[in-house]
Amino acid sequence: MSIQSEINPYLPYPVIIDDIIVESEDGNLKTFKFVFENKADEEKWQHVAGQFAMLSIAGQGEIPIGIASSPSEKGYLLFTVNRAGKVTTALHQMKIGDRMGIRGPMGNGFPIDTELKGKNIVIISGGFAFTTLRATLLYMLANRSDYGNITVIYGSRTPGMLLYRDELAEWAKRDDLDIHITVDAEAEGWNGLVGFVPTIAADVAPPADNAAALICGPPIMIKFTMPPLEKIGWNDDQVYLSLENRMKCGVGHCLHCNVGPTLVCKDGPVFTRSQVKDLPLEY
Amino acid sequence: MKTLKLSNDELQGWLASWQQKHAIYAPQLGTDASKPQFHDWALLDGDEMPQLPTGVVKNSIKRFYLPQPQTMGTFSIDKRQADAFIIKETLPDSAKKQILLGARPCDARAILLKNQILASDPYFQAAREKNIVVGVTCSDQAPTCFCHKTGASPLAFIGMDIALSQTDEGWLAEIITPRGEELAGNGAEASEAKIAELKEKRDAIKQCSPAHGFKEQPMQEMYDAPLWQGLSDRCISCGTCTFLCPTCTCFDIQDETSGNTGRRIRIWDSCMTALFTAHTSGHNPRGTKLSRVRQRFMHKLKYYPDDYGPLYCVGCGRCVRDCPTNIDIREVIEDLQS
Amino acid sequence: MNKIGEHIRQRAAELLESREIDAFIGFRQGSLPMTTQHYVARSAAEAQNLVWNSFCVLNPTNILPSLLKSFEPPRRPGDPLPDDLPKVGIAVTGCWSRNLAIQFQENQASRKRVIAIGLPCTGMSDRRQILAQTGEMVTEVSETAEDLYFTGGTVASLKRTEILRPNCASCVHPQPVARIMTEVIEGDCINNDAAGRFAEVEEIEAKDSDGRWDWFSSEFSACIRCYSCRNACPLCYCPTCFVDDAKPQWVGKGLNSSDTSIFHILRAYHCAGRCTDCGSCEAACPMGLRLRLLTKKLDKDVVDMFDSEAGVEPFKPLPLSTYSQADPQPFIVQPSHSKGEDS
Repeated sequence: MSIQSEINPYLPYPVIIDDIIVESEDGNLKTFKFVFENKADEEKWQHVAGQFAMLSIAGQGEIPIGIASSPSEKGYLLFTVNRAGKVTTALHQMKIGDRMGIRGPMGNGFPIDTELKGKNIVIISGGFAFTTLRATLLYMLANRSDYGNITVIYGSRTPGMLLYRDELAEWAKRDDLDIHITVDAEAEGWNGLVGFVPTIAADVAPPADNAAALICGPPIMIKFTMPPLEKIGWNDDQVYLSLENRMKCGVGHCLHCNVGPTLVCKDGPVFTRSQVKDLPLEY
Repeated sequence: MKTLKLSNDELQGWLASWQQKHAIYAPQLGTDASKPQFHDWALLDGDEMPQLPTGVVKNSIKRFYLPQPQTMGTFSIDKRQADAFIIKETLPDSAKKQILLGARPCDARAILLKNQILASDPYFQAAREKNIVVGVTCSDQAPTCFCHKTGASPLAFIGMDIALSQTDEGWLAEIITPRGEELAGNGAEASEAKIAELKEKRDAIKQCSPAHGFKEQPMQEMYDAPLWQGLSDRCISCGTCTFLCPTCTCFDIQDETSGNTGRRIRIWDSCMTALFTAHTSGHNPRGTKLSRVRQRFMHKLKYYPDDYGPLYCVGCGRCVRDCPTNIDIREVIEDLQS
Repeated sequence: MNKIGEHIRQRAAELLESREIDAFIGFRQGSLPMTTQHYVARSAAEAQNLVWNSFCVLNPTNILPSLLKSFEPPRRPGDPLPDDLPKVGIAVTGCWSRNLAIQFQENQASRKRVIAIGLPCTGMSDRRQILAQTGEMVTEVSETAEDLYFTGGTVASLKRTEILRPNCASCVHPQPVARIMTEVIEGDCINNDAAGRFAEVEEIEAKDSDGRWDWFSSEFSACIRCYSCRNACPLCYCPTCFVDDAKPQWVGKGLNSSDTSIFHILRAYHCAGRCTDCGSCEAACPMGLRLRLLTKKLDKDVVDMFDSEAGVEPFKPLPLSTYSQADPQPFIVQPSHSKGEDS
């Protein structure tokens, strides 16, 4: 006899891979487009930019990945995945039409419909941490009048490592968006900015007044981005960061992802910098 | 709540009738004489009340709530199958009850403390439905027992469906929940005097159960306490403390396949191992043994109490008894309190 | 034993006081009767906490490499270590001194940085074996050279010779390896008959193949995969143990008997020719598995095939990390007399 629970947060929704886009020149970053197999699951799914989900491959395991598609994009979900461990390697080997599972959405996401409304927003990102910020940016652009000035600073090692290059080009054309794309060093065919993200941020960051910063990137980038912001009056309550810790369940049960008293999966992954500063250095 | 007075024969009568309908698990001494002898949970064959040692047995009743391993779902990886790669839920059959006979007050309480974390976990909740706890209170404490220092009591019945307390003449059976009511057989009501005597003993223990005081202590102060270094010097990261602990809940999820079928299982995991927090990139937020030793105690003594009130330790003393390097949580508590 | 304890405290205090060493590894009294704790004394005052009794069962050389490392400055890979690094003192019995010899050979500890004090050893006792006889309610224990006395137990005293750990009862090298000792405390040692040293193993060897497999399956069925045995062992120092590897995952993580078996078989084989039968693995095992029987079997095989015992000759290469044409290799070269029979 099989018994079915009403809500089982461990059971993934079946999804089909609808498209795979190789994002980076080294082939290690791919964006996967998933569509739900069951209409009912799709209707249940409601996420906020900044949330994550468990990508689940039966026989291989699960991996928490930030959701790269905006809630305003309907009918599919996007995840950009770096090939690193067992599950992501298996995922990179999968093909369009293959079936797998998704559990979620999980975590809190950016307070995009509450605290961030009406503010000038600056998005600062480096490397492949740009994914949930893409979701955030698209959501803000879809609801453009809810926000003040939007500034984007995004950098990667080389031009070929930038994510969503077609979209970046489109965004550059918009006049309601101030976007600065940079690469670490001069490269052939690159006419844009050259320099590290913190340096660019120091040049173009907007005034702190009525503003919020969403920062996702390697720890070293975050570390060096803060001093120039602080110099022009930014404080830690205005800065939102997203933490990544190893996790297994994503719903606050397995207790893998705690940072002191806080669970990254439930209480996070998005925290203000002042919240993070109160936590032990275990992230 | 009803309190019945039972002779040994009457209790045996209850057991015999339970045997007809349910599986009964109880602490029993291993039968293989060539192996180290200790009491542990096993299926009860006869209808006699098993002999319980003073204090706790090797494992807690955790394994009946978080089986090691628990199959969460099954799946096919055969692409030709229509349902390939879809995970099918395998919940424990909660209609088929089983009885945990002889659970101690510490173990029964531990399940309630765990429930704060696992309130929305369908597998744990199904197991709570399935398991009926017929506990036995402790008339004596072993040298490693310290439940009375964790806000609990050796005579407590919290978390039990029926609580049995041994008396000179036999047993007092307190029928606590409707499930206990359904399970209990016939018996004479205990006298007012007997009930009062038990209550008096309980009250006396409550008197010597101090508040832990960790909620008031600043987190950073406990986090930076000097004792972690000494503890981690001798800890060997085996995680025996976490495996034997009735409250430790952390688990890992793994997929196992054999041929074209597989199952997703969850297994006990331990914050004492470096892998617990290791990222694929190699970065490890708790990369040092010190940070892992500290994590276990901070969770039990600070993080959990801050969220829910009581210590996340029920004082069963299993970790004290079986830690190969004699790390004693009672000393840790005292050290942090002073 | 009290005299040895006094001697250890005194020497550790002197060495720490004179700054000849920065730390001393020994034992201090545990929080329960019949327990001790590994203890690192870092001052002459702390050296007074050191104890020596029948319950010093965990191998102290296990924490030596990490303690030595803790004094090393951070440096880039390949950069040489400074010459004048702090030294560490350690008190060792016969088996532990052989582990020290292996640590020196395998570059896990530098001989220059270790002040080793050799101890005479009359064997150790296992608390759980005793509790099985006395009951759990023992509150105090005292000992003389011959006996242990209990308060609160169902038994008032036991003879030490009757409750020796099996590895101590079959030990034939209780004396520390003199060539690597800085100094030696003289005293009585246990004196076992070498003839019966492998009796435990021979008992299992005598079974037929099915019998041996049944024994193995049953013995290891209680394993909870906590890896205490590995972690308490000074021979296990791989940065990532094969059971912890995720890519590839060699062994399943559950309690499947084949996974458990693979762990135990491989663990034992990794110790072949290196194990000193110190009993640390069994002392650490929360489930009371007789892990030593596997490693002891390999000890026996190495003695039979290579006439070698781990660490006894401290500067001789370990039998399984070297090769000689005289090595037994019947699996490669069929003995000539059997050739005829085959054809």
